[in-house]
Amino acid sequence: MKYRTFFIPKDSLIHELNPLTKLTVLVSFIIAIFALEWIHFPLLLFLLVDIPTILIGRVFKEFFKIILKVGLPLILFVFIFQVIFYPGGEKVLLEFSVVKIKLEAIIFSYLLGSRILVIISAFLIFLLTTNPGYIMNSLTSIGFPRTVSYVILSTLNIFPYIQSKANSILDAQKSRGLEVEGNIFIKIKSLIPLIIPLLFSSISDVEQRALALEVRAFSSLYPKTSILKIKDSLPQKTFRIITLIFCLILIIYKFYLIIF
Amino acid sequence: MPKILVERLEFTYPSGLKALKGIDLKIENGESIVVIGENGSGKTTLVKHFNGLLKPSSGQVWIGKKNSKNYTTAELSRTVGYVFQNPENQLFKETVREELNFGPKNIGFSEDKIKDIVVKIANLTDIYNILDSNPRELNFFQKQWVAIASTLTMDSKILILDEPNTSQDFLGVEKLIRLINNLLIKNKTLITITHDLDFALKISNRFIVINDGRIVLDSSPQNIFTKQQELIKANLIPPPIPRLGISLGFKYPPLNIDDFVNIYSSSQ
Amino acid sequence: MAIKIKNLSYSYSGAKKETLKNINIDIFDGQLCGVLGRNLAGKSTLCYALTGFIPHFFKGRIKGKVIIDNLDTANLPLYKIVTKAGLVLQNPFNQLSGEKFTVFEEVAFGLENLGFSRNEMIERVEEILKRIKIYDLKDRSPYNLSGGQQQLVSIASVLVMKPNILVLDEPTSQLDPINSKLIFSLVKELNREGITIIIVEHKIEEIVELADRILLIEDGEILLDESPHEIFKSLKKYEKYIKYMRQPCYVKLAQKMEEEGLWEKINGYPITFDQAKKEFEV
Repeated sequence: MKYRTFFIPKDSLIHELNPLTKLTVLVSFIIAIFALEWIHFPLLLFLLVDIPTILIGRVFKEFFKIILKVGLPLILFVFIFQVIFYPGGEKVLLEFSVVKIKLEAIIFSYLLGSRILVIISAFLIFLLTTNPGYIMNSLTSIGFPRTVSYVILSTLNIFPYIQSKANSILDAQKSRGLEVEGNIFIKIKSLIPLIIPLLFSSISDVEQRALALEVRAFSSLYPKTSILKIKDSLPQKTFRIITLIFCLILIIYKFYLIIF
Repeated sequence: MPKILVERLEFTYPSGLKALKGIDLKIENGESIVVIGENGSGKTTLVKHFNGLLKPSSGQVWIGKKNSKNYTTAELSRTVGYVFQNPENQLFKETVREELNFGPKNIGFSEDKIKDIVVKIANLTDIYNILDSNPRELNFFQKQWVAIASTLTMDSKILILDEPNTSQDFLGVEKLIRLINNLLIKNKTLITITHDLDFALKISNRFIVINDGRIVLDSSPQNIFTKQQELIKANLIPPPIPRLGISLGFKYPPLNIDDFVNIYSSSQ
Repeated sequence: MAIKIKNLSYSYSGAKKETLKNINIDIFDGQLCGVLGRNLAGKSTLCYALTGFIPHFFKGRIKGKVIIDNLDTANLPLYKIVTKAGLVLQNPFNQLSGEKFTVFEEVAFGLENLGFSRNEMIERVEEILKRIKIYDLKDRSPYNLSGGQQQLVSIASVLVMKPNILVLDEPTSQLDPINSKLIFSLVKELNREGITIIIVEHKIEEIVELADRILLIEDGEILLDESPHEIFKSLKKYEKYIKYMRQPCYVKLAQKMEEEGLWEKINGYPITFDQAKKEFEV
C-alpha cells in the first residue's frame, strides 16, 4: 500500500517558500486571469511564470506527467466543445456541413482553455511543492479551524487505506461467487455486497481511530503547539500583503468595468 | 491428477514488486498443507493464485483441469473456497442465514440444496442458534465463524484458510482444529496460511515455507525443524516442544508431548 | 501504589449485564502484570478502566473507583490521565493519528496536543525514538511501515508523554512471531527501567516468562491473582482453571513425564523453556 499525495519533496527555492505565500500567488493568478480581458494574458502567465517556477521547483517531470494525462485532455475537450457549440459570432472561418467554426468561437475557446490551463497548473505546482502537513499548519495559524484541517489531512492519509480495504472486500465477495465482470447489469448488481461492508467497516475504523486520538490527548484543553517550524520572512509577508491589495484593486476595477 | 498444480509461477505486482520468483508446487486430493512465511514473503500472493484472484505474470496454475488464466474467481469459487482474515470485509446481509445463503446462491445451488447445507454447516460450526441474528450485532469471534460458515456452504472441494486463528482464544483455536479435522475426514483439500507453527503442527503434516518469493522448504515438520539454517533465513522459530527436544539433543524433533515422552523414554 | 481498583463494576451503555463485577486490584509500582482470560471475559474493558477510557470515553454504568497515582480517574480529565497511564491496542494501523506524514511528527502528536514547546518536543521525540531503536524510521511515512514497525511507533507515541504505567491490550495478536518477540523484549526492557506494565495476551508461554503476576479474568471477575510459579505449582491447584486459560506446554509436558514415571516434581512444574531444559536435561 504505497502512500502518495501530490507532494514531491525536493530541495528548491519554491519548496522553501511559505505555504501562505504560494497560496497567495495561486489566488492572485486566478483573480488576475478573470479580471483582465487580454486574451493572451493567461497563456503568457503560464509560459513566463508557471514554467520557470516548475523548473526552479525541479518538478518538471511530475508536472508534465499529470498535465498530459489529465490536464491536456480536459482542455482539449473544452476547447473543441466550445468551438463547435459557441453561440453567436459572425466571421465563419471553416464549414463542415452543419458545423460552422467562427473566429469569435476560436478566440473564446482559446481564452477559456488557457484560463483552465493556468488554474490547473497553479494548483498542481502548489500541491507538488508543498507538504500537506505544512499547508494545514499555515492555515491553522491564520485561524482555520483545527478539526477541519484534521479531516482534510486524515482523508489524504486514509485514502490509500480505503482503496486497499475496498480491494480486500472485492476479493472476499468474488471468492463467494460474486461475478463482477460482464455487462452493466452485472456490475450494478455487484455493488451492494461491495459497498455495505466498506461503509460499516469504515465506521468501525472511525470509532477505533477516535479512541486512538484520545490516547494522544486529542481533547486536551491546552493550547496546541506544532513541532513543525514553517519558514517565513519579512519580504514574503510584505509580498503577500502587497499582492492581496493588488488583487483587491483588480476586483474593484473589474466590478467598475462591469457596472459602468 | 493433482488437485492444484503450479508450474514455474512468477508474479509481479503492477507497482513493479516481484513477489513470486518461480514457484513449482503440487497439491494432491485430500492433502492438508500449511503455507508459512513472514509478512512480505509472498505466501498470500501465492495462495491468491489458487482461486484466480491473481493471475500469473508467467507460468501456470491449474486447479484440477482448469487453467486459472481462463476462469474468473467467481467461476473457480465452485471448486476453491477462500476464508479471509477479516469477517467485516464481507458481511452485509440482514441475517446470518442470508449470509450463509449468499455463496451457494451465487454458484447456482437449488433452493432445497441450500436449505439442507445451511443447516448442516450451521451445526458443524456451532452457529445454529444465531442463524436469525443480524451479523452486525455479533461480536468479532461470532462474525469470524459466520464468515467461515458462509464459505463452507459453497461445499467446495478445496478450502483456503487465511490466518484463521488470529484473535482467537485457545478455545476458538481448538474449535478450529476440530473443524479442520472434520473437513479432512470428508476428504477436502485444505490450504492454511499461518505463522503459528504450534497450530500448524496440529492440522498438517506438510509445511511449505516461503521466503522472498520462493519455496525454500516443502516437507514434513520433523524434517523442517532440523533445518536450522533455512529456518533462520526465513525468520522462523520452531514451536516450544520441538525446540526443547532439539536443544536436549534428541535424534529427531518431537512434534508433540507424546512424541517427546516416547523419544525421552526410549533414550533412557 | 501505581493503580488501585476499588469495587469496580461496569456495564456498557445499553448492555444488560455487567462486564466487570466488583473488581479489586492493587498494582504496585514497577510490576509486570499479565492478564489472561477467554475472549469477552472483560480483559479489554479492564484495560479501558485502567487508563481512564472508562468512564470518560465509554459512558456506561460505573460503580466503584480507579485510582491512579493517588488520583481518582473519575475526577481527572482524560487528557491528563493519558500522561499517567498509556494505552496500546491490537491493530497497529488504527492507532496512527491519521494526520501526520512522518514518524517523527506522528510520535510528537500527543505532545503537540498537550502544548509542549517545540524544543522540548524535539528532545523527547529524539530520545524515545533512540530508546526504542526506531530512529532510522523517523522520516518515513507511518503508512509505509510493517505492522510490527507501526506497533513500535504507537508505543513510542504513547511513551513520549512519559507515563509511568503502560497498558497493552493484545499488542502482538496481529503480528508475526518475529515482531511479537520484538514487542515482548521491548516490554521487558521498559519494565526493567521502572515502568509498570499491564499486558493482556493469549500467548501464555511468553506471558509467564515475562510477568511477575498473573490475573485471570472470567465473566468480569478475577479468578486468579498470583505469580506464574505459584499458579502452576501443583496440578490440583490449577486444574480448575484449565477451562479459562491454557497452561504453558512445558507444564503439560512435565505432567505427562511425571505420569510416565520419567520425572519427579520437586520444585513445582517448569513454566519456561529454560526451566524445562534444566529439568529434563539428561
